[in-house]
Amino acid sequence: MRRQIEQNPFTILFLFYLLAFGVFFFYSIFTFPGHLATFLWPFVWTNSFILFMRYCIPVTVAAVAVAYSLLPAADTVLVRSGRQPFAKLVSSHLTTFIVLAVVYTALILGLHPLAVRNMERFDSLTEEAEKFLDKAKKAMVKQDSNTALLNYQRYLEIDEGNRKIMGVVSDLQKKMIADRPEPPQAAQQDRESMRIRDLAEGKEAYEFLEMAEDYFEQEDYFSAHYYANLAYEIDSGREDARRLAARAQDKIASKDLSKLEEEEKRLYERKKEGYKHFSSGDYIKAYKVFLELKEEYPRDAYVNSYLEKSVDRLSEKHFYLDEAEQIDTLPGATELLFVNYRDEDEREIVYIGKLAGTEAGIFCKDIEVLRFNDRELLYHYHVPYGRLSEGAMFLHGVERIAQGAAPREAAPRETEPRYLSGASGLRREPDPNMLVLVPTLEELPTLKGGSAASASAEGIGFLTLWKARGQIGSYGYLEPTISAEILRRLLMPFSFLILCLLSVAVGWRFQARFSARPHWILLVFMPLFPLVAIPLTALYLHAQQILLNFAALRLRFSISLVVFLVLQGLLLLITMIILAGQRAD
Amino acid sequence: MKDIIRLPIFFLFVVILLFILFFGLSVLAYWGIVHSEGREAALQAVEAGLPGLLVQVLPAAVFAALFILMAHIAAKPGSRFLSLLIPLAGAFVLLAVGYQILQQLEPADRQTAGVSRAGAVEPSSRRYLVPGVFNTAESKVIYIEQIGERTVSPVVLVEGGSADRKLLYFPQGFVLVGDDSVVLRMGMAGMDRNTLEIDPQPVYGAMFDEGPVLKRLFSDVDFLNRELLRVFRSSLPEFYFAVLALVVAFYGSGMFLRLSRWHLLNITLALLALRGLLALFCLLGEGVVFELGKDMSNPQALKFLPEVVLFVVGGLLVLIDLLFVPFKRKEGV
Repeated sequence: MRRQIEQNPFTILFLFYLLAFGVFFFYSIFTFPGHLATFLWPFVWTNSFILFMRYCIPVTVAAVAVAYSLLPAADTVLVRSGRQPFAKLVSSHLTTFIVLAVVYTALILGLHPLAVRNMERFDSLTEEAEKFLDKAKKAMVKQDSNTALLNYQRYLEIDEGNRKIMGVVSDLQKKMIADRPEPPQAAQQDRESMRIRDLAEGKEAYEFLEMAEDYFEQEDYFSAHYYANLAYEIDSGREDARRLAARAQDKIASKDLSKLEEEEKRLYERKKEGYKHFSSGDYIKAYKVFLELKEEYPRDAYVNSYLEKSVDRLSEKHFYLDEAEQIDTLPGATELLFVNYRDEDEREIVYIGKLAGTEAGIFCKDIEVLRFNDRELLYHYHVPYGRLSEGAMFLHGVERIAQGAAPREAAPRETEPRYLSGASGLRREPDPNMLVLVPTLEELPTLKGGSAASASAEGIGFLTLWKARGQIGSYGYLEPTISAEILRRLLMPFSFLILCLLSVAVGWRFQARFSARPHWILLVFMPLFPLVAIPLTALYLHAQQILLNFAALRLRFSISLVVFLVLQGLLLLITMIILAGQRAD
Repeated sequence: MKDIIRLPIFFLFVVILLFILFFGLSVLAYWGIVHSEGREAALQAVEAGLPGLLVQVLPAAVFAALFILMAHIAAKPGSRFLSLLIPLAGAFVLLAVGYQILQQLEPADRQTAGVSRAGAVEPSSRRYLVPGVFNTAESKVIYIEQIGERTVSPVVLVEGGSADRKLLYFPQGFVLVGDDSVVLRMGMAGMDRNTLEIDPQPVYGAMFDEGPVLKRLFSDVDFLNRELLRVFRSSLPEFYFAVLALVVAFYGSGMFLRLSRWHLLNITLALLALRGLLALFCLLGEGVVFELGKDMSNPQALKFLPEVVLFVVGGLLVLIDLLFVPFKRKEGV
């Protein structure tokens, strides 16, 4: 077994990998930052992987050099029939090095950005969770149980296993149930009985008129007036409908209304108001009216139908806040910043605090937009949430009231742009509640320049970076920095392979000349090899990066790529020559 | 006796090769850093910085070549006497003489200035701020539409994070570029005024940054350069002594190259020793001398402490090498 280990350099390589990962694993445990406890093990694994990838090349270089320097020359080189040249011996190992380089490429270009994004997720979610907890505690002090419960629940969406907070939530819910007043059931029943019994949906004018006549005969003048009006609105040529509506109106006016009839009149007026809003395209107002009516008259078919229609229309240009607020507890791209280049003479700078996708769509939060020209600031506004859809961001959010929810005193919440300055400028826009975005959805996560700390492109996938490079200059970013990042990533797999091969030659060149088996005490020195390999490989990479970054600055990207390939080809050639030149004895 | 010709030629060849490599990379890095100033200004800055860069890369090239020569001697041992004399004398002569020659290339006004640095041409604000892009300045991000000689307009300051207003707009501002900071004064007066004082970090500086792994090493090499320049400006005998101390110390680390039968381990130990000596030199020069100087009545007496310590340590290593470490090892014994 021991002999096998000594003769197979890859056994030593994998032992080095295992030990390095172990060291990074324990290091990650002890350096766990102040994230939520639920992120401990995900953090440890992710951080270990990131560290492993960061030091993979020096660890490989050290391991390969050690392995080849310890290969017992006589046993290895003299294979059966006689001496083999070193190059021939190594050629059998080359395939494994190429496979290793391919695996490394997949990890560094594919998995590494994901791991970096994961780390960013731990940061941002911990921050969000702390905010929710803080808000909940403040609400508790103010005895605002609803707000406290909402924020505790949101906290638990992030920190699912926190038993302490679960206990607090459970106690709070019990308390809230105990404090809730009984609903006035009698009044509710009266209201429900008042609903209009027929659905006005999909009927022709003559059918409405027939319904109106029926109601008139039954002395239900409200319903008669309502349906007669509807018939007239559908077909303005129906004078009979207009006349019936007028007669019903007269009857209502001449009648002493009972309390119930007053209520019915109010319902009718509200329905008419909602319908008017709906017809004029003001779906938010229509939604609000029908939502209120729905709370009072949950079984009214007309109300239900128009509420549903309003919701459908609303979702085209607006969004529900409950859906948008889901991104608070989700991971996403944070602190996006870009120039929204829409006009030659004007600049629009957009800041997005967070961008994340939910089942309901892609939402943004904490959006700030500033537009100016050479002379003045045109407008500057902030909006808490927005929904992305087909190259535009809709900025008007409304609160959705759950069916069967308890009646509330406060009006449903709405979020719209809040003008910080230059409101008149914004009003000149065709639709002040819609922001046309120039960057595509795919490009947005690459525009992470909202803060100096978040500006790193490490978390961005290679292909995304490659696609974004061409346009990134128009969004207010330096294109050469992205080109340099692409070249840096491409450099890593090439360096892995070249340095692997070079360390084979170095290890062989500086072989141990022990007469007996090496003493176990030499194991003590093993950690020294990676320690020396780290700065040496860093110097190698830094020297190449200077050259490539300069090329990225001064030349076109395609020419920089050619420079890169020529350089790597040259280095590979030199390495192969060095490798082939090693002596077998 | 072949060594008397072979070793100096080999050493000279490696020094020249490394000198060209280091110098080329330094020029490219410096050119890249000043690239944002525009073609003409960047070329002027690079031209003005060339003598400084030549001086800066010489010690690194000589010491790296010295190490390679020692490794070469360890691999193919020849005459012990020449193996001691040629590296020591060669490194000393090349560094001491080369340094003086290269210093002559510096303009006279900068030869007498405190510390030489590359790019002594007055930098413009374009080195630190580029119009039409988001400029990162420490924790802030700044967008400037137009940059004049001293004025900027309009400016958008991105506060980001948890600030109430993430974006702040200023119709115009002023920019002042100093040696230690770049001051950006935005807004006219009162509440809307905002002054930002940032470290002068060139726009493309991060692209040519050495990265966290090499930061300490590069800062130690920078210190070594500053120290050599300081003693060079102080007096020539002091400069010769400093060069001698460094050469002896780095030659002393070559002792590890013959320590065991495992050559890779020897090289590793020697590299660590080399790095350790450089770190010790900086530690003494930057930390210990400063701390001791606070308690001493004559802190000037300590100014050669790093060189003296390095000379003593190096001398001891050379002595151990001569007395205890076999110069040639028989194969397989």
